[in-house]
Amino acid sequence: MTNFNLIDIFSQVFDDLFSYIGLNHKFMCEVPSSSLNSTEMVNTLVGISGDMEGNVMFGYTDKTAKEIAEKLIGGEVKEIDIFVKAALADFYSEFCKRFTNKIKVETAFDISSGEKNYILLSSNPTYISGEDMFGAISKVPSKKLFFKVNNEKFGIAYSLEQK
Amino acid sequence: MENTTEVLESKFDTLFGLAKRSFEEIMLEVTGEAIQADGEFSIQPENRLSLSIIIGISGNTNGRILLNTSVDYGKNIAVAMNFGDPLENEEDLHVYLAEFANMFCGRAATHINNAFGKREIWISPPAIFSAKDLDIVTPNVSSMKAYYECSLGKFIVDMGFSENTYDEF
Repeated sequence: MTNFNLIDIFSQVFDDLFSYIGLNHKFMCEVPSSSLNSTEMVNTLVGISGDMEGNVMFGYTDKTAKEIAEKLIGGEVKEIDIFVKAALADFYSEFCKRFTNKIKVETAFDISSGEKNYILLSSNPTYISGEDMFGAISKVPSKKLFFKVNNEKFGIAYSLEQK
Repeated sequence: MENTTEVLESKFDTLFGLAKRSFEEIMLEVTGEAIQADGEFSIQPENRLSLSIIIGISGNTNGRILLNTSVDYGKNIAVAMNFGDPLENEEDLHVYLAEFANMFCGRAATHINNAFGKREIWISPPAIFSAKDLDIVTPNVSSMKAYYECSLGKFIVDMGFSENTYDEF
């Protein structure tokens, strides 16, 4: 059983990273999602494995993708090319590394069994887009967190189970 | 041993060979189709929806396994898993294919970890996507592909590896 709140950790990391790149952001709400998710215009998927396993999928608009990339690249972004996709992959890789590190810190000491070596790994982020796209990130219903980034919808769908 | 380009390429070849073997084994066990990698082709959905299954890889080697096909071909696997009976609803397609991908990647992880004599890779659960013009890109990975064509349809196993070299912010 976890002794930490995943929503808190997600929103802390979200706040840290979006503050760092200087984009207005706000946590809105958490909603249960079905196992079959309708996705956003642009999505990035990161797999989590180790003592906790599952998937985290970031869903955002084309405009947000360009805004994040502009902050990272430091110039105007007109279209989403391979360099923009690589910049977004770095950004979400950093997100998931910070997320897994925070969980490791939260679970570093377990009163019942002393110090615990918690293994938590994240895979390479994958950029996914398409017309009328549907996706399933797990066989069981996942959860979705909604944020606003410069007044655009930004979602984090996740399904994480402790092994 | 130093991770020179040659050493890494040889390691990636071994990993990809074991992943291909796992796909062929699971296809035979689950659908009864004996398959072998064939020449390169593209899957042109023509009015069909593209379908991709993504499984993240982490551990000593990072990357992902991508199984590309179309929704129609994916349904053929799901129906074969359902002993030839049609699926009761559309959502069942994702459930069957997720199980198929679990079996394929679970087998691949077992073969790889046995071959390396340690926990070389960890895999995350499969995620499945379908869309009209599906665009899936994993930057910073070098990928290897195997093409399979059989009576169930066309399938591309695409395995991408990286050296885990992301810069921290």
